[in-house]
Amino acid sequence: MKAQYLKFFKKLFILLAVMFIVDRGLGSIIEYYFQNEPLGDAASFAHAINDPQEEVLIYGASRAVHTYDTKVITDSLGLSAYNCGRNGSNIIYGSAILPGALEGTHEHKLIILDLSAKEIAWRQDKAGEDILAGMMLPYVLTNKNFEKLGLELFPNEIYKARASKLYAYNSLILSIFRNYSRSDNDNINGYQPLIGSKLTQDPPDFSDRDKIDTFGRGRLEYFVKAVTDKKIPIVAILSPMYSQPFKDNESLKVTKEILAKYNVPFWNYASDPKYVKREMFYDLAHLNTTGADMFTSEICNRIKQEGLLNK
Amino acid sequence: MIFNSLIFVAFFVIVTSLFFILPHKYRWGLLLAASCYFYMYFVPVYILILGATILVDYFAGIYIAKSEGRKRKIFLICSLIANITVLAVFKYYNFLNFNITELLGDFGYKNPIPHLDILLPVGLSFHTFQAMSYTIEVYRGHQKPERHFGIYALYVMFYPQLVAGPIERPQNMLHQFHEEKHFDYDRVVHGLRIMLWGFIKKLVIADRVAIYVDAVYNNAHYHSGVTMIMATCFFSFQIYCDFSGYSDIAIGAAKVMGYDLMTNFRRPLLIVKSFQELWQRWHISLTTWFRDYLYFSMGGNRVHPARALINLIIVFGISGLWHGANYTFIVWGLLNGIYLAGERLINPFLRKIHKLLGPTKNFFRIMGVYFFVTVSATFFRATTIQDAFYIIKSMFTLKPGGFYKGEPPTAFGYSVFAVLLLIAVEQTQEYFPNIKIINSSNVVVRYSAYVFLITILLMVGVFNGGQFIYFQF
Repeated sequence: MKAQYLKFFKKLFILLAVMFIVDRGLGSIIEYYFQNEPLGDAASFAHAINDPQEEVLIYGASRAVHTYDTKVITDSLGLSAYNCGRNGSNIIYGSAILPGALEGTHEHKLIILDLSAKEIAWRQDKAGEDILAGMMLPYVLTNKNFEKLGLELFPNEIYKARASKLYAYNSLILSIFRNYSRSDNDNINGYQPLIGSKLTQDPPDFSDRDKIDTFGRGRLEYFVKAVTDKKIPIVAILSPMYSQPFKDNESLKVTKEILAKYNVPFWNYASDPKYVKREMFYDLAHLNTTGADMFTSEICNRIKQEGLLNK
Repeated sequence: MIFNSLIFVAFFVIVTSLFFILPHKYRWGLLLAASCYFYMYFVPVYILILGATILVDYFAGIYIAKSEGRKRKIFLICSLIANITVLAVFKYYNFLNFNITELLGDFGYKNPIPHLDILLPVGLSFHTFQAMSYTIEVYRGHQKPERHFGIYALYVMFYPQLVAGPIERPQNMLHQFHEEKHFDYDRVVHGLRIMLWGFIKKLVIADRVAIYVDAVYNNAHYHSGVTMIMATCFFSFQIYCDFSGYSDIAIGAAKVMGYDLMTNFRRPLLIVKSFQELWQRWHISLTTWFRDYLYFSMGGNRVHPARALINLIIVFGISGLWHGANYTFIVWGLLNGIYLAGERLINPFLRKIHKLLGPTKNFFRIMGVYFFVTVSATFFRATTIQDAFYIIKSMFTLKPGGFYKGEPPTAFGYSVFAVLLLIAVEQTQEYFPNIKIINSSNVVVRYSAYVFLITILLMVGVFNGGQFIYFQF
């Protein structure tokens, strides 16, 4: 009997040792390729946290990534621009990468913060929580801001990521391959254009999710305060949504209160009939290239008209 | 407590270690306490309901064995009524009440019966059926009544199969709890391998595919027919891997301690060539339960052939209702009953077609079964009958629109990878049983397989604690 136990534990130890070596070795290779991705979300992240030099910076989630064409901004405002947005993120992610720009050496002339109608209610959804944890996990091992946030939000995930590098890069292998095989046209200074439309239906009703996430609210206030403290002009925008017109939900009301407290303009284009058309949208949440170019041009004109850059 | 959680891993290690440390006479107590803790992790108070039915069935078993003639039947009926009442109240009361409300509403009346705001006790249908199989087997004289109350309670509550089966029979389990188990290296490793494959099925295949399927099915009106075909094809793999993954973890966990649970799935997808074969390989413990206790009681194949076919469809309809108190499940069950009855009916004609197809016949038979199973799965997944018909119509009319790759766009790629992994493994196991990889005698091959599977688990597994679909039953 004793021999059976010894045999089992000896073989278990060998397996764990081999697995540890594979985890660290393969994990390090994946980490290298992930952190050096030429295009895609990880590339945007690396650029955003390493003292971005561009004069206009855009923050937000996928609706920012696919909406603000940096080339249009540069052509229209004569300023360099970088889209620091991240697919599947929210203000919590934005607030974590913001110090990379504010603590850098370069002076920024404008920050555009794209918000969703559920920006600070997002994490209340279990899916939202999981997406956020999954998205931030690869950075907790290498970035102090993310590690700090991660320990506050999902400490168990941090311990798991420390135990296994492969776990930290869970679900990323295909996107790494994808980002190494994409063309430059897929990513223009962080802007990722979406071509065509998948929509076949009329705009649906806006499905509400209204419970405020106090942590998200705190991060929004931190973001706005940090930017205004640095005297950098900032505008918050609710970009067009392919949905029926809707009244302000609790998330939007609180968002507006925070923005008003710091005198940050809020431009609401959610139900703008100019945009709420199939030919403007790629899917329910994202403008396609036609919509994105038109919208970015309109935003640039408004920035000029309202003299935002001169403040 | 769900199997795909770290807390379960810790629980399993602690309970298994204590199991082998403790002398045999204390082990039933350990396993029963562990099973109670496992069950109470969901809704603690429901342990009282489970305890009450265990008590009723324990004494029913003893009195059935003691009694003669009509009295035996009365005790059996009392036991069955107690079990079915619990099931009816918690699982079907609101469904029935809703239908009464609708019916009375059509005639302008208001339903005075209140809606009950209750949670379904986890795994209720599983342990109720397992408990019923005990009293029925004692009544039929196939099983002696269990005198040890703790062992009987453990038979109903044994934690690996408590909440999602396999639905065991007393002849297979009860004697095992009396036998002394020793630490057997080969058996422990075999159990752990089964568990590992179960985790791969659940976390890498079922939950990964679920991301794509849920995105499509939850927004069916926004997706094209081709996208819905893809999602429906994936769903059949999702449901299979979700459930059989659970069964594998349960079977593996029990095996590590020395207990043999019955096989619940035997590679039913893209391998079976007929509906009859499908139901010999899919959810075997439930199918045989219905066969032994309901279909045979209705006369089985001894009645008129037409009657047997009708009985078959009725049994499958009830089996659908067992899965959930919703018309979608009933339709799913009936459809599968009709498939099976139809196959029996036209079998001579099918044989002629198979002859015509020559060497390609197996391919067409496999694809044919898969096609019909997948179509019926739409009812299993859809929330309402209308939704299911909408999806089926969209698929068959190839509703226009672009192809959805998922959000993020890699979701589709991961789903394809997951399904291909399953197909590769199961086809190899089925058609090339001599190829040994994870159980190879070559240490390099064996360890490479372990490392490969664990690496895949860590890199592609979905670790958001997704519930097993069958928990709701």
